[in-house]
Amino acid sequence: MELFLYKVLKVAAASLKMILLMTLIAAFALPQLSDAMNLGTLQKQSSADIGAGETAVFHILFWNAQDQEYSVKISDSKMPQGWTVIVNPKQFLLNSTPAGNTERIYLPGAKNTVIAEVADIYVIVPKNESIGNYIVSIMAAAGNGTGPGFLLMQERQFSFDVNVVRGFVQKPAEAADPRTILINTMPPISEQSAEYNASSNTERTQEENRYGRFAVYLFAGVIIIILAWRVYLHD
Amino acid sequence: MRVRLTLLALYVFLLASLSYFAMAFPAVDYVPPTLPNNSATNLNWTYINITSSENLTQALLEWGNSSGFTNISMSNSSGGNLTWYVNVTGLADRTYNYTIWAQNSTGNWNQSVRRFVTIDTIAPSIAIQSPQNATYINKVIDLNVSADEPVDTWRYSINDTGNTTFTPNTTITVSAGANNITVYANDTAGNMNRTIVYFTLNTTLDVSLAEPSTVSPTDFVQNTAFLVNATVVCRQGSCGNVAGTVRYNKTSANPDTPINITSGAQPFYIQEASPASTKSCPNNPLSEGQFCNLTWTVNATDSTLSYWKLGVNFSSDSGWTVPNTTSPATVSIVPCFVDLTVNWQSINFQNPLIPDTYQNPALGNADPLYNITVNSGSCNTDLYIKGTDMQNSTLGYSLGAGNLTWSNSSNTYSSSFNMTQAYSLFKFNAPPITNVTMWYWINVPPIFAANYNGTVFIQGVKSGSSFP
Repeated sequence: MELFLYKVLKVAAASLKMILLMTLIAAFALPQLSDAMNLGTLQKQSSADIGAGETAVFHILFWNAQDQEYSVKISDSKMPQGWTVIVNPKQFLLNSTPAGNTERIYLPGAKNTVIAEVADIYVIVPKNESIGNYIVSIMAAAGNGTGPGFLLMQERQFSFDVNVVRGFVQKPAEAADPRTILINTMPPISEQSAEYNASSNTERTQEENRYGRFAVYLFAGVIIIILAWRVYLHD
Repeated sequence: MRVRLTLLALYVFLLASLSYFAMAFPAVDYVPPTLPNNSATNLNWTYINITSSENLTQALLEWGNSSGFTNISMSNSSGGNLTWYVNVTGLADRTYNYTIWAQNSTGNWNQSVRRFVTIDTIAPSIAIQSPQNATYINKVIDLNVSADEPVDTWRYSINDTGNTTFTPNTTITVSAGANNITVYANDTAGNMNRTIVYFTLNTTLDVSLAEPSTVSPTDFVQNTAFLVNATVVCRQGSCGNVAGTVRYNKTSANPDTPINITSGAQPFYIQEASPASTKSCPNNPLSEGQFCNLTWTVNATDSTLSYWKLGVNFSSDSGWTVPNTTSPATVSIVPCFVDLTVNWQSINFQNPLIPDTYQNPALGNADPLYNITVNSGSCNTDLYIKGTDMQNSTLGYSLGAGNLTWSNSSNTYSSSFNMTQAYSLFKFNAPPITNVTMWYWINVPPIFAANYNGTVFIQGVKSGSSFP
């Protein structure tokens, strides 16, 4: 009975595979876009000393030296509890000739000056905030949104050190060192199994979880063995 | 017959009557130098000369005005009693009228026509409202004058070069430098007065700064060279030899100090083969309407990364050309920026792709198309990449981001990495003008046929900054 069921399932799997192979995927069927996407950014200030209840203002320049315009959306990604960050403008179309709040930036490579859109970042510190250094970071995503295939977007993260110099005297909140660099050490494909490459993300996540659990079990086992050995020696 | 006799008698009577009156009353006419009727003279005396149709025994001048009249005996000229004259002297300025009473040898009197004459011995007083004893910057100047009495003729002479008749008010055009204008006024009596005014016309230098912008601040990366470009136009006359000096605000709010010519000097120095902060116009001397353009290549060395004001001051060796300074440009020196050019906007694969096929290369791999450039002026930059799962929102299926692989070393699948949903570093500390080429592959597992959309994110981070 089990052998019969196994054969039935095997035939069904083979049939399904054939159907899938005969089905053509139309994904990634896109006209080739070869337009370049240029994004230049300049963070004019990275730190400010202000008192509790006050507002720090930072400026970020965005420019696009290419002809094709794209959208830029700025979002606040990290701020201390109770703080308010206002970004103006929060979303805008960036081209080579922006209007409004602008500055100019000289591009030494092009020996040319381009007009940059200025985004004002207002960081409002709560009145009851204690003295200390705080980190506020925002993220800007630039590109022409989503569409068929793999569209490109550029992102930039901007961090601001806000030093609250007046207010309630409390122990400064601990903040992560923003200058810590984490280097990606992911192994290349050649060092991975073929199953890994062919799997979906969900499958790979399950694989990672399995390896993680195995590592925990192994570590726990080693600890138990070491403790048992110590107890044995002590006895 | 009787009618004819009557007409003849009437004719004879009329002829006799006319002859009587003609012979009985002498006819008197004014002759030069007697002034014409209603004329004026700037002398306090005047001759009244007459001639008579017959010899006169005496002639009297009745002279006066509304205040009263007096009779003055006239003298006869030598050679007969037909011409008579009198010189009326000691006259005060005013209008007089007069008539002649003449008596012939038969004792009959006759009166001439009455004439009017104005005695005016005082010259008009001239006031020049414009130009004044001042400095002008427009070569066309109003000539506004007035007088205390009616003026018959106005004239002016600029710098004693000929007279020009004019009717107030008018304008004059003068040349650059020191000038004077003499204004003459003649009244109807012939009195003339003049007034002179000294003034100066300064020519002006019309200046503008083309680079850097004076409209909004310009940021320059530290230790990069940029152009200062200024133009001067000579206005209102000749400007002599004109020179421009590029300056920055060392001690005040506006540019006041020439930019240093020593290499490496702070906050700016002129980075040229033969550096000079002051340059002369190549087409000197500049006449009216001529212009010249001066440029300097300036290096921004400022280690304090501050805001500065730059400008160009133009001056001339002429004594009448006013120096002028361009509007200042606000410049900011920055250490560097992050400027990436990604030379594609999407990653595309062969259309269609077959499910359960792997290592499908992107269409741009062979070119190679997928280049990322860290542009000049950028900080040393760390480059990161991440991707989203590929979704088909209609079916609700997704293809994991890890099915897309990338390489930054070669067009070889084995060198590639799986795309992750968190940022992965693929280039560390890339200096400016670095080009990074990437290659992409996709593995298509057995999955339902549909369009799947995803996004690839590239992030440039200034080296030393926090991990995104």
